[in-house]
Formats: sequence, C-alpha cells, structure tokens
Amino acid sequence: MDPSNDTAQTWQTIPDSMMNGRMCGKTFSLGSIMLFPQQEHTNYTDMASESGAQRTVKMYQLEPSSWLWGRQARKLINESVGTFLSLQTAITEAEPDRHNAVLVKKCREYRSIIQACQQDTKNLQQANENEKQNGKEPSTQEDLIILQDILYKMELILSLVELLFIDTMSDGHLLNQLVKWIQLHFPQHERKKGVVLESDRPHLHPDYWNTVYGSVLQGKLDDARLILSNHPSADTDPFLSIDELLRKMPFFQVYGGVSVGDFEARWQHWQSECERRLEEGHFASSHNLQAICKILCGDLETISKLMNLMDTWYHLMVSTLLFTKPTVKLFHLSNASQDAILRMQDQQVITALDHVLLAAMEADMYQVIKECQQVMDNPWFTTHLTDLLYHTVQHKGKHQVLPPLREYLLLDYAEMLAGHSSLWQVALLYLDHCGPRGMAMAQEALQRLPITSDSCAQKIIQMASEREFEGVVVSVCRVMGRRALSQGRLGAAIWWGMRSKDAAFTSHVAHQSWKKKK
Amino acid sequence: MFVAKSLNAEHKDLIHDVAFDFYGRRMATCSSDQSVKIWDLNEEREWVCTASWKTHCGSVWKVTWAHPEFGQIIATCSFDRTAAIWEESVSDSGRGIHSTWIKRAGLVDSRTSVTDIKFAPKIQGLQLATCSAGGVVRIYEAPDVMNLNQWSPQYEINCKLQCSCISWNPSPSRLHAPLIAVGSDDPNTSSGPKVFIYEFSANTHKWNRVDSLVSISDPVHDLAFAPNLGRSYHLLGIATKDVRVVTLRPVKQESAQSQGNSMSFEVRQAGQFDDHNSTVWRVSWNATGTILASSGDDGCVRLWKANYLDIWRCISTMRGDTVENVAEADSSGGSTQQMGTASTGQHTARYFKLAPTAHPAHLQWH
Repeated sequence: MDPSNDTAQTWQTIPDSMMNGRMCGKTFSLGSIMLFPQQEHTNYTDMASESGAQRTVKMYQLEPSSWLWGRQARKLINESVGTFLSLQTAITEAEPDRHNAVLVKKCREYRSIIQACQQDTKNLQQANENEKQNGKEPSTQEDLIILQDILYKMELILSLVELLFIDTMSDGHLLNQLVKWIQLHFPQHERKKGVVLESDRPHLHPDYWNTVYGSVLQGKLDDARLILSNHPSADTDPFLSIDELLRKMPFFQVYGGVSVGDFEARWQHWQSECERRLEEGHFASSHNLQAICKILCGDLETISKLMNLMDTWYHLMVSTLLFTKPTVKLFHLSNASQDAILRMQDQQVITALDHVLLAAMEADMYQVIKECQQVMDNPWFTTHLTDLLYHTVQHKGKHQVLPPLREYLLLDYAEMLAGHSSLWQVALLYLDHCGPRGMAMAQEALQRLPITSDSCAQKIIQMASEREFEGVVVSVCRVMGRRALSQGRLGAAIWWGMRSKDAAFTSHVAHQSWKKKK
Repeated sequence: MFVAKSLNAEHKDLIHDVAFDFYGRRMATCSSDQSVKIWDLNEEREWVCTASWKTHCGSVWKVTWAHPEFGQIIATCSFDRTAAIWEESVSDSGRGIHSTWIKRAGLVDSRTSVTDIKFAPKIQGLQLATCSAGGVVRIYEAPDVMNLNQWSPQYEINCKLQCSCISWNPSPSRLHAPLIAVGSDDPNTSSGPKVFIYEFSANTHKWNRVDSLVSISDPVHDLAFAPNLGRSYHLLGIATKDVRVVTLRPVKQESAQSQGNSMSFEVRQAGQFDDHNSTVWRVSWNATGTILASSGDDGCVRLWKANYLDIWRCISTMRGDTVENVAEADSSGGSTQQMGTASTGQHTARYFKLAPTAHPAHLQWH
C-alpha cells in the first residue's frame, strides 16, 4: 500500500471569477488561510491595470472546520486529555503484569467518553426536535446526525480493538467477546423483542419469527426462548425440544474450571444432538423451528438466508462462528472475515469503516491506524488509539513503526488544538509528552498566542515558566514592554523591561520618562 | 475541511502581497495601486481596515512585519527601486484610537526594482535583507533598536542574476550561522542554478555562497525556509516550474584554515510536484513549518504536508472558479458566501466540500 497515501485529500472551490486566474494563499494563526487574487508581474514593467477598471477585489479567509470544534465535542477533548495523561503515568508506574489491566481500563474510559458524547448529542437532537416549530436551522440537526454516525463508528472500532488487541484473554473467550461486541452494537432485536412481546398476540406479530432468529443469531438464547414460550404451541414436543437445545448450548466460562479442549468436546456433543434431532424430524411440523435448529447446527445456507437480519458482514461472521467454531482464535478471523464478506457481497458496498474493521481482523495494528487516518478529518481518534496500541506493544518490543507514528500524531493533534483560542492549554499537556519536537512546538505555540491582556500575559508566562521556557518568558515581557511604551504607559514599560532583563530597552524608557518629567 | 468567509479588499487594483503579524491578528496588504492597507481583527473576529496610505511611486511588491518585540513595524519594497520601513503611531484623540504609520527610513541604494524584503530572525537584532532585479542582495541593520530612523547598509551580495525572492533561515539556535536563500527568476535555464544559499561567517564578517541548488535551473519565483521546530535539518520550499521541497542537512567539516569548523550542506530533494501543471508563483509556510502552501497559474492553491515518514504529499486543493448564480449576503465589512440554488437571506458560512479522495472506494464519514 502506498505509504504516502495517509490522509485523504480535501478539495475546495472559491466561487469568484477574479480568482480564476491566479489565487494566492497565506497561512496565519496556526491553521487559517487567507486567499487573494494575485496579479502577474515581471520585474521590468509596472503593471497597473487600466484606470477606471472597477472591480471588487475580495479576499477569502478559510478556517478549518471539523466536528471536533463543535460544542458537543468540547467535553470529549477535555476528558480525553485527562485519560491520556493518567494513562502515561499509570503505565510507567505499573508492574509489567499489570500493564494490560491498566490499558483495558483506559480503553474503557475512552469508550465511555465517546458514549457520553453520544448521549449528549442525542439529548440535543431531542431538544431540537421539540423546538422544531421555532424554525430551528435544519443544518444543525444534520450536523448532529453526522456527528452521531462518527461517534458510533469510533466506539465500534475502539471496542473491537479492545477485545482483539488489548483485553486478550484465553483462547476460548474470544468468541464470547465478539458476540458481546455484536450484541452491544446491533440492538435492533432487543427493541423488536419488546415490541413483539407487548403486542396482543405475539405469535401473530409480523416480526415474531425474525426476532427469534435475530436473537439466536446474536447468541441471545434466553431471549429466543422467552419469545418462543409465548407461542400457543409452546408446550408441544417440537417447541419443548428446541427449547431444550437452546437451553443447553454450552458457552465457554473463563473461570469455569473447564479446559478449552473439554469445552470443545462438550460443544461438539451438543451440536451432534441438534443434528440428530433435525434428521429424526423432530421439527418436521414447523419450518420455522427447523430453521432455528439448522442455525444451531451451523448450516451456512440457512444462516446466509437470514442475512438481512444481520446488516453487516461482521455480524454475519460472528453469527457464523458462534455455531461453527466456538473456540475461534485471533488468527482465524482473517479468513472468517473474508468469507463473510464474500457471502454478503451482493448486499453491500465495502466502506471505509469496513476497511478499518478488516485490518483489525487481520491483526494489523498499523493498517488499522492508517485506515482511520484516511477517513477522519481530525486526528483525535487516531492519536489516542495509536497511543493505546503503542503502550500495548511497547514492552513486547515488536513494533518499530508505532513510536514515530505515535509522536507524529500527537504533534499533529496538539498543533490543531494549539491554533484554537480556548484549547491551547490542552495542547501543551500533549506536547509535554512529545520529546524535543514537542518542546519546540510548545514554545512556538506559547509565543504565538495573542496577548490580549495583562492577565493573559501572566498566564502565558506562568505556563512557560513551569516548563522552564525562559526564552518565551523574556519574549512575552519584551512585547508587553513595547506595547506599554507605545501606549505611553512608561511605568508599566519599565516594569516589563526589567522582567525581560532588557537593559537597553529599560534604560531607554527610563530616559523617556525622565525627559517627560522635566 | 474549511469554512470560507470573504472580505472586501478595498484596494483599487490587484493585490501583490498579504502579510500577517506574528500573532495573526494584524494583516498588511499591498497592491499595484501603490498603497498599503493595515487590517485589524475586531472583537467580532472581522477584519477592519485601520490604515491605508500611499507608500511608493510604483507597485508595491512585498510587505513584511517585524517581530513584535521591536514594536509595530512593517517594511515594503517597490518597483520604484526603493524599500521603506514604517512604524505605527497610535494617538488617542477625542474620537477614539487613531493609527497612523510613519515612514522611519527609506532605503534608496538599489538601481533597479526591489523585488523582496524580509526581516531577519529576531535573534540577529533588527536586520533586514532586500533583493533586486539587478541581482543585488542588501542587508541593513538598525544598530539601535529603539531608533528606527537609523538603518545602515551592512553588506552587499552580488548574485549576478536577477533576484526575485529571499528568505532568512528562521532557525532559532545559536549554533547555526545566519543563512539566506536567494532565488532568481532569470528566464534563461542555461545560466545555471537559480537558488543560492549564503552563510554569514562571523570570523571574516562576510557572506559566502555555500551552495547553489543545481537541480533547479528554471526561473524561481518564490522561496521560503520553513520554521524549524526541532528538526535536525533545514527545509526550503521553492516555487518554480513546479513545487520543490528541499532539505539541507548541515554537515560539519574540518576546514584547512582551522578557525573552527565550517558548515556545508547535504542537499536532498524531498519532493517535486507538478500538480499545478503550470508555473508556481508563491510558496509560504505555516508557523510551525508543517504545511507548505503553493499557488500556481492553474488558479489553485495547494497545501502540502509530510507524513511521519517525511514523505510529502498534497493534502488540500483550493480552486478559484467562476460560478453562476451565487447569492451574496449584503453587509458592510464582510460577507459570507453561499453556494447553490435558493438564497434565503443571511446564512452562516457553508461547507465548500467537493469530490473527495484518491481512492474511490473510500467513503468520507464527514
């Protein structure tokens, strides 16, 4: 894969005929761009245009826009820096065998930060809906919908990364984790179950059987049993038989005291029983119950036929594995995912999200990060993800790529924050962890902050002093001294001059002040 | 992704240069109408023109700000063969704060159009360099930073080819001797390299040419050193028939006349891009030296960024275009552009996103 093709390109058109010829751009304030139409000139002719030419020359200021600058994301930014910092400390302080526990905890913190943002956004969407008659701008709602989509996808990826790379337990447990992952992110059957059960005659509800199938495919066998028990024929033999099979499906318990090998044997035994009952025609009277039993037997054709209940290839993959390979290991997922994609190819288009998830199934951390970079318009997610993965593999000494990539992303993210008037302090917190380049950028960022007031100057000086950036302190004092001088505030000018230890300036001002008094 | 907001430039002719002060809150524009305008950001984050005055007797090619440690100072250069230094004077009359710019010095040594002017890094004091169509680079200094009326010419460098642009190496370290890059737009490719690197020797008090970039023989219209935040090498962006990114890595050599070591450079081309498919006229860096902006005759501005492997690529393209049926909100200072069909009065700026990425299978999430 072309290593230079990291972040996707953006395109922009400025609707102005003047700009058709030559447009020039200058960057300012760490991220803004000013575009202006420029005239061709040579060194030997002074090209003034025809006098009387009336044209309105316009300049265009471009500001970076991203969901990250929205109100909803502010908490996300502030909370994630807290988690980031505590992660760095906790990892260095923890015993090697406690590393994983720390990383799992921090990963879950990030996830709950995203979930909290999802909740806030949802509340805002509700509020907007309620106020719709007040002519609320539709674009805000649209932005919120887009944001929800992004948040959902980020949480989906992070939770998969957690179970595949960070929270790696014993072999038998991977399937359970994958099943939980699917259950969490595809809650539609849960909702439907409620609707179906509350209806007058559940078994006649159009979604009745689909809800049963859906629950089985998600490993929610108790739910399936509950719905089936509402059927008028629930106490007939076929129903009792299927209920027993559903009840007795073995699930691997990490601390159950059963070895993986023993579990596998039990599971095979159970599935053989399912096959036997199917063959002996226990469910001949009901094609629905037959279908359920076929699912339990791991019949690919039946499972595939129910594709529309699963929406995505990863749901299909997990559902298939649930009934064909309960002791699946990480390295099996590569084939399993390709297989699921193939089976589903007529139903879906492969999206950018799919590429990320596939890379995770291939256990390719670097590719996961790269794919995320392709679709994110800001580095918030990729930065924190890479930092997590970096710490996960660091003590194993395997990955050579992650350290420079992590530093690059941290610098990139911090630079983005530094350009924002209320987030520069957060930027400094990240830059403290980026080595010498971080220090250099921190100094530059502090110096470039517009000094709007004395208290602002003091704040910058304080943050610079904490980091022993003496040069920044001196520079700020000099600028303040100059400003005071130009405003005629000679006393203040001398004070700042002394703080900047600029003898020439101070004595000049003192001289001015003496002249004034004469 | 960007959000665009327009403002009326108020110049009577096209703009040659736009320069921002250190904090990005003051802007200077210069034009063929021979004037310079100063703009300030007000509390509503709109640009307001606070000064406008005639600066030269010919087109003003470039304008540049000094570091705020020296005060509010700009320098201009012009077709009229002169350069000038201006300082702001603020007076508080009864009707509010009034800003005027006073000419502190005129630099009249050049016999030809002065094509570029740049202040030196602040660590060198208050110095500036000019270059001219006659091929001469001049370096001036104000020995007393509190007295801007006194500028003395310190050095003259004859580049022998007409010069279009200069750039000081902004490297803040005291370890690197002052360094200047000069570009020539001499149209004759067989006259040799068009980018020269000069280094100041503190021992001999002379500027010496330490390198010429042989890979660049087409006319150079602009060049700029990137701000250096923690790099071990220098980075130069060049506007010529295409966009070039060049790295200069200092290599210490023991010199025969041992008065310390002299620097030489290992020059590498980190990128050469013909995306503009036409002459590239301007290049400029952002404050952290991570993004290069280029503009070309194809009417586009492109942004370039390096990934973590230091491979440069285009991350953004902005194109100026004639668009039909664009409605504009009518307001005094500035207006926000709308695109598309129905205009429903005042709108906040809309997204201007077009067709996305290189990989067609990838769907953007935003």
